[in-house]
Amino acid sequence: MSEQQRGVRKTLWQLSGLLVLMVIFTIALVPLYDVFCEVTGLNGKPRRVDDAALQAALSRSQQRPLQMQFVTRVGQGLPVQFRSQQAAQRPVVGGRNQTHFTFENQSDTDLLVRTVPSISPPEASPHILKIECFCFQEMVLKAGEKKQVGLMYLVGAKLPDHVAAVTLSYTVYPVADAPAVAEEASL
Amino acid sequence: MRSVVGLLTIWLLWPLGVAAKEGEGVDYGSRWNMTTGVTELSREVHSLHMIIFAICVAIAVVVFGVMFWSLIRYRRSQNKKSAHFHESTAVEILWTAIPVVILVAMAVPATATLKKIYDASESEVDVLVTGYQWRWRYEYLNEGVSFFSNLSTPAEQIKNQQQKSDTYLLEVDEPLVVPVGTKVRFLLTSNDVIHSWWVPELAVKKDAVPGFINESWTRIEEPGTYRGQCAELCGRNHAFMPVEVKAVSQDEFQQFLAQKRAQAEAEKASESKQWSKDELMAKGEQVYATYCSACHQPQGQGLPPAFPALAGNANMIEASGLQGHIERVLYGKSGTAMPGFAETLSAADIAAVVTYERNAWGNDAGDVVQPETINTMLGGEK
Amino acid sequence: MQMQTEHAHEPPRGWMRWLLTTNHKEIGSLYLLFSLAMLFVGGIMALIIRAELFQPGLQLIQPEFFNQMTTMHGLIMVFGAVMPAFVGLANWMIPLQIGAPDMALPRLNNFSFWLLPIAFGLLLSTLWMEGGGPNFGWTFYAPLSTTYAPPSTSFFILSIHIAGISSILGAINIIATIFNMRTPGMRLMDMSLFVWTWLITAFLLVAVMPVLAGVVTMMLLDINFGTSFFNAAGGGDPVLFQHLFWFFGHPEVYIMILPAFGIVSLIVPTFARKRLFGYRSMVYATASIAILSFTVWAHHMFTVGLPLAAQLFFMYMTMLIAVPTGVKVFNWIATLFRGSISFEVPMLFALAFIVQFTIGGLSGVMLAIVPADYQYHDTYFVVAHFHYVLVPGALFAIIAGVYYWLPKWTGFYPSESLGKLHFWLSVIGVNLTFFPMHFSGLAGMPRRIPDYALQFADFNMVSSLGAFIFGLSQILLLIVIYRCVKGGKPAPAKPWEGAEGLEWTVPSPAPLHTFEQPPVFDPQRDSPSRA
Ligand code: HEM
Ligand SMILES: [Cu+2]
Ligand SMILES: [Cu+2]
Repeated sequence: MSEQQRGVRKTLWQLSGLLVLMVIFTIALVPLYDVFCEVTGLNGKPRRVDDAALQAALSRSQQRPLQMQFVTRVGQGLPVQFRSQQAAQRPVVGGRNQTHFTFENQSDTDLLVRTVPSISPPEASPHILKIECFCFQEMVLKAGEKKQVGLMYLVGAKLPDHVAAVTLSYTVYPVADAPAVAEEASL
Repeated sequence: MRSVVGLLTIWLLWPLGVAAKEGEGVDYGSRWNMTTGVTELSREVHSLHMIIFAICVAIAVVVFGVMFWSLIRYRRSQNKKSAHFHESTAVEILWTAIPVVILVAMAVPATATLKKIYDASESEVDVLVTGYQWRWRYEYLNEGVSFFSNLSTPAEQIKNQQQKSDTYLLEVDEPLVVPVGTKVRFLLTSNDVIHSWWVPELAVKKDAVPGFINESWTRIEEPGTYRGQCAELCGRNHAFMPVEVKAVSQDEFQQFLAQKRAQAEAEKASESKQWSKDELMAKGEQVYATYCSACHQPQGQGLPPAFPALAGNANMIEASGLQGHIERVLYGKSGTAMPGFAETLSAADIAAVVTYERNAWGNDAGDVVQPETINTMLGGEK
Repeated sequence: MQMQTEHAHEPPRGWMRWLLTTNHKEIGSLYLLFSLAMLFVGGIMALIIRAELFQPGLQLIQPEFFNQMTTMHGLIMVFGAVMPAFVGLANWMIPLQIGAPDMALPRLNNFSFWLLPIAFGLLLSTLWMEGGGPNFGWTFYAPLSTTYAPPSTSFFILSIHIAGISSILGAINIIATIFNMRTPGMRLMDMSLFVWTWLITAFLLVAVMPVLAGVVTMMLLDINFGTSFFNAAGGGDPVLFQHLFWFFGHPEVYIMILPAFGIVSLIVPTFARKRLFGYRSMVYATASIAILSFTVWAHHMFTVGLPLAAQLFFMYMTMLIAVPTGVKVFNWIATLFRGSISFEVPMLFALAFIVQFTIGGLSGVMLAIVPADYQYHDTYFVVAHFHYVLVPGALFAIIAGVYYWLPKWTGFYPSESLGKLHFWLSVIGVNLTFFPMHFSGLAGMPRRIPDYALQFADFNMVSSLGAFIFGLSQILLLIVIYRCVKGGKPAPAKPWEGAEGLEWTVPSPAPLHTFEQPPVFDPQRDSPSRA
């Protein structure tokens, strides 16, 4: 083998390495994006809270005029009524807050649904910590069932001062990978 | 060469025969520059645009000036012998540094304006804007008022069978109405694909993303009608889902809300009454023109295979097809362009349009669907 | 050496020869011809679009077909015309410029080329499939391209995969060639700028093509296997698609311009008869553009609702990337300054490149300003911007390169008079097409619409006119190339008096095999970075 061929072979190995690295990087981008979003609120997804975060957020409870607004939406073709019991509330910043939502399955079949949350402005989302939420798991709505569910959340004390109004929106969707129930729902 | 000229001429002359005399159109304040708009922010954005534009023109004049001067001054016939220099660290540092300074000068006002745009706090009216293929839905949060806003330009104008109006493609059946002098916050989301809600004169453009919520705001100073369009490609009728915003006085705004509430009441009441076939056909024709005819065509002939014909459709001439027919309209057909209208249309609308489809264009199923039936199918009150 | 044994025996004749060739010059020609064909296919689609937009109202085609045309036009021009043209030029010229007998991996070279006709045959065939071809724009944003896409989308994804593999293999070959096959004595800082810009481009390709492959694979999974990467209803995130796409997409736009910088950096000194000003800073500027290009992707997403801090970061980085870009333009002009300039056709195209690319760069700076971008985004202003950098920019540089190297390829000068006619018609046509788009965009016309409000009518009519002038005048390019292959004024080994580089030391036309013995290279005398 000539020196040139050895060189070419070495370059090939190095480039294959780079290629593999980029493939791994691409795959890793999906979870990395989630982590990045948790920290920065990039995609406006509210955070689920662990103990440390809870303690940190609770450290300093303060009185400031914050408006928390709830928006509910139903995904296309889902025969469900979904309402927030309060359109808005004034939460305690640095403390626990609670509110309720109702679901009503208007069809005569059972439905498996998932609720997708989103927060605006995105800079608020790292500071809205959910302790208890119906959006954590998928949920069965029996035919004709009317269900009340609770949300317990905490507004972190570090919420930037310029944020005076936060909107928390929920969209309820059928769970597509549960064929028996979902098929009916989307018809 | 001859054939090239020939082709060009044919191509140039051909449309002249087709063209009807068109209106002048409306514009957003300028036909070739960014609009100044009608809000403090839109004016700020406009002046930012004019500043950076002026800087860019100045840079272009200097750069192209030096370039063309060199091209003329040092053309071969004037300068037989070229110089030998080929680098100069001082010059190179200089022309790296100068652009940096210019860019910083642009970034400072841009940052200030952006911060203002991001301050959506203390709004007095909140509107939830939802994008649908291909219409907008407006919901006044806390007011219990919501409605859809559809393109109102007739299909004949789009197909060049009728002279186009000045507001061609920029007009809707129900504009969004907002009070002037009031901070209005828009919360945006989408029902299906990504859309983008844009009104140039308000300098508001924000994407409506399914499952996510975005926000933006405006404070309009002058009463008037401000138009815009969906800015993000959202499928077949992306060009046909305009935005129309009507800014009115606070009093008129309250009247508008009251009137909308009354209208909704009346609608609800009408759902429990028995409709005559004529009433249903009349309403159905309207609904069909707004929601269905773009795909299924005004005469129900469809555009197969993508959009099936409704005229002569088996489901619509045989009584046994009724149930399936209603379900299709309510829930759509997955994997196709056919959306479900359960959410979009009222029970009366759906009853009317189904009745219309079963009795128009030679379809003779003869049956009549009452809003009540639809409500029952939807599992009670909708 | 293996390569010598390989071309020792007789090459097969007829079409088999082209199918099996491993010769860098023949493969280079194949790439260039393929790209030329795609230029016309994509061009016809553009003319269909412009014909529909000649006047308000729907005249010729339906919206769904219009959307397929804009999508296909973009995909074909980006992946089928511009990129393969650069690879073709790289195949022809890199071995000649570094004194190598061939590419490092000749058989791989053959394979990467033949993947392209397969990929684009497949892509074009989707137009005849049920539900039509891709109709979601060349940026194929989810969920329009997943949940709401036509059934042919899986084939679209497959064709992107194949084209992507072709690009990666081509890039690997180019890097391996440049790193290992330079003639003895040639250091990296002795290489021509075309070789340098291609080296950096090849690294960009290896880095971002896997990201594109990843993102289309996720689409495929979402469409066919029930995952929810981009589907909000399943807990996924449509905005993630855009982050991934533009993480690939922004470097991709530089992939389409860096080799153009290289070509222009060779042509301008040749016809100014003066060495390139600032060779080193050109190399550094190219490298910094490449690195910065990974940090600006979200400037395509200013309206999706990012947090303020992210908007500011991407605005500043985007403005920063304009600095090295500016350095390049200044260096070219300093090269012209006090030169002895003549205006042969390659030089005309290169000069037009500089002016028109700068216009595109300046509108790029305007687009970087977030509050203003709220008004520009997704309008014809953006269409004007990227066409200025890509058509009168990258494409003009490619055409300049073709006129510049045709004598080396064919042994004949291309016709000067036809070339000038081609040039002037192209300049007039291209500016008539794209300059008015700045105005229609500022006045508020969204992009990707088959029909528009009356206020935009005048500028659209001008754009359509210009497009037909530009499109039809490219027939002249075909004629010039055809005639130049057939004959013309014979060209000597070095057809351009001011040219430098090893490619001009071999005869014209370049024989099939060159530099079987490495040429002598004396950095003191031959290097573009010599004192
Ligand atoms: C000075 C350098 C440049 C700057 C600052 C710049 C900036 C930008 C910005 C901010 C956008 C997004 C606009 C929007 O969608 O609202 C954009 C779009 C684009 N730019 Fe540039 N750009 C530059 C150079 C280039 C070059 C060299 C190319 C390619 C050769 C290029 C190709 C594109 C393309 C293809 C798009 C649009 C993609 C799409 O949405 O379809 N740009 N540019
Ligand atoms: Cu749209
Ligand atoms: Cu970019």
